[in-house]
Amino acid sequence: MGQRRTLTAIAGFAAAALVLAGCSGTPESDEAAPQEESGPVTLEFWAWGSNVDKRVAEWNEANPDIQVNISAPAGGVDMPVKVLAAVRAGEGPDMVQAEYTQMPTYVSAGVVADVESIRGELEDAFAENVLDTVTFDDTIFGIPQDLGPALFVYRTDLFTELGVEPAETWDDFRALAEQVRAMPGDHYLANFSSLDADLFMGLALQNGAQWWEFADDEWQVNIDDEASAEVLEYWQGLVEDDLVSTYLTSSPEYIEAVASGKILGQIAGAWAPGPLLNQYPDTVGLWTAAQIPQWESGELRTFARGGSANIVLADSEHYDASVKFLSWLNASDEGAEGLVAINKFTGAKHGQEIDRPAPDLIPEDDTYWPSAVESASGLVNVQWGPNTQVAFTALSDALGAAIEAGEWAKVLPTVQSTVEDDLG
Amino acid sequence: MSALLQESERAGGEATRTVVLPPKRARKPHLQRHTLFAYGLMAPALVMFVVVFIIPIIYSGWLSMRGRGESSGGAFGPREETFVGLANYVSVFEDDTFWVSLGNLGIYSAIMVPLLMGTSILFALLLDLPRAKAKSFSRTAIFLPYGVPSVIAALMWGFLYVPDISPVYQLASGLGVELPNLLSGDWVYVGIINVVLWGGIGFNTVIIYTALQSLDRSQIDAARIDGCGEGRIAWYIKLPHVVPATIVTGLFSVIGALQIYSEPAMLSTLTNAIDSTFFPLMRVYRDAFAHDDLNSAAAASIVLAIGTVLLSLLVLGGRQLVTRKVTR
Repeated sequence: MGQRRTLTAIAGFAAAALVLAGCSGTPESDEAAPQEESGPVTLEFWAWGSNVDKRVAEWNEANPDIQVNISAPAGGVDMPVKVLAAVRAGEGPDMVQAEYTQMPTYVSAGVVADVESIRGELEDAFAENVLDTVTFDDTIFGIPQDLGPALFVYRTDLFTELGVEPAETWDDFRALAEQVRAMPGDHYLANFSSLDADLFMGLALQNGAQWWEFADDEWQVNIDDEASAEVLEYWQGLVEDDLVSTYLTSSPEYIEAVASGKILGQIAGAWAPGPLLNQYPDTVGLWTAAQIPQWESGELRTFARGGSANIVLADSEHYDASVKFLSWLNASDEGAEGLVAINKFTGAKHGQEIDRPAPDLIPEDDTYWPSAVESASGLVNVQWGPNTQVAFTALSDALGAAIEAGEWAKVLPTVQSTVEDDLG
Repeated sequence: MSALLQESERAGGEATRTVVLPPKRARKPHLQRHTLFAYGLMAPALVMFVVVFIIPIIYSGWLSMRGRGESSGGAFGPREETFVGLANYVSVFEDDTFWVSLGNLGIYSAIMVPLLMGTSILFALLLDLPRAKAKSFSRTAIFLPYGVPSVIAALMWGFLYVPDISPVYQLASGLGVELPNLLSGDWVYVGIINVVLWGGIGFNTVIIYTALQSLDRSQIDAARIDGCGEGRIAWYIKLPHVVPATIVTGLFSVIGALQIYSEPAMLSTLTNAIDSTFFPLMRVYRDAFAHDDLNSAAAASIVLAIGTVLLSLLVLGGRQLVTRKVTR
């Protein structure tokens, strides 16, 4: 067994050596390339989003001088690590897709070029709160692509069968969860996974928390605050009273529970129909969306789950061409229409206003996209910290310990101190 | 086949038992030429060793002494990487999660290593019994799981552990038996150890069994004539003979235990009981790839590497003591 690890290590080192050997060869040819863009340029674009390659193909067709080469070296979560490693090795791409939560990681690592050069165009195309999510130190660093305003996505057939309606407030939500548990068939209204740190943070934001604040040249961390504690206590109650399930997101148990209708709904981003269709193709037509529950009825306060922007890396030798392509892809009216055609809920206002067909998952449901637009209108402002990823891993671990061993009281203090220590 | 094994084991056994040191007498010219020739032959391996082993270690050492300095201004100003001396090491030692992960590792190793060694010796002795049937089949069956990559093994066992979807649990509950959930609480140690044992026993059994094959059969015959049963033969003749091989495999097991990563990392996607800092290497991975803090990760891995070397020396030292006793 020991030997196998040694072999693995050797293989790893050998691979690393090959990579190193590869590195040492290429920079010369790169440097030899002319700085002024006289001939056609080829831009490297790292993005994992589904179907974006179709838009890239269209661009390449129409722009022989600026060719874009799209590839996905990693999924969403692993992307920053890949990109930062590549940039440090001098091998970074020109453009990268970045989740909004990852933007601070890129910006504070100093690898992103700002896009202030097209500020006017961006201010026209995007709503202020959307542009805020890519603005750091009053500088715009990214071009928003898609948004994930939160929705309560649920199974209409099972709701009808059980004779229940989605909840409007969190109090109703608890009552509804109790009602669902009491019905035959061992159903849960929703699932609470320790892995969904972004969801918990969103719920805290909805309740008025603001985890990071930059004041007097210093970061203030307010994770262990009253608003977050209230949210934590609420979910603790649901978990301890067995009113929600606690499967890990994407675990086989969770997938099985959703597929079999054991779990009736989930708080997802507006992108939900895509993955749901891929994972549960048998459930076409059985879903719809409602606004997420509120703490006080009447006022709509929502948050985003996921969603991403495109950034230009500081090391790119083709800044102008990259900005030109990305603003066409995401900010132009033509681009926004194209994104809608590939099933994105766009960051651009124009894309949100387009009268679009219902998602493939729920072909008959004309209310889905309007619900998403409504949710987007209620997004609360969020200040991401420079170490959001650190907070997320710490929160996942702490929530896991809470669900597993009942250590709920430790969750917020642990995350607070981990994030503070990391900033120090 | 067994003659072949005997020969190679004898050669291998000798090589590991006596470390070949250069002769201490004055060097003669022809010897130097020999030495040069030997180094020439070793050159490709040495170059690889330096490139893929020595240089990365030096680089890690260098990384471990650097860290994020002052921000260049503003809320999101990039922070320059600067020399911070031993600060990363201090923060590793000051971090509770490091000690917790070491504690978890201690519990795991204390159960896993003796269990692995004990089971492997037992299997090897059983295979060596004259009455054993279908030996080559059993040997293959025991060795086969070693060929399964640990990630795949963990994935496969993971599915069997999840009560809601596992056929094992469904069968058990059908029979009215309630199995413990190996993915919850302290049971996760059992869950992890089971995966590691399943993959590791084959390798160790084969090594110990091969060592047994090199045992002079006349000793056993003599013992048998004296009226020794199989149990006493195993205890007084076979076991002492395989001590050196056992210590070598034991060393591998200890090092393997310290490097445990893929099995718990895989299982952690199925349970809340294994967090991202459960074992030291998982913590290193978190630092490097979730927190983008290569410096802290490098410091922690160097601490672990030094610990591993020290432990290995300890085991080897113990081994020399034991073999000296045996040969005496």
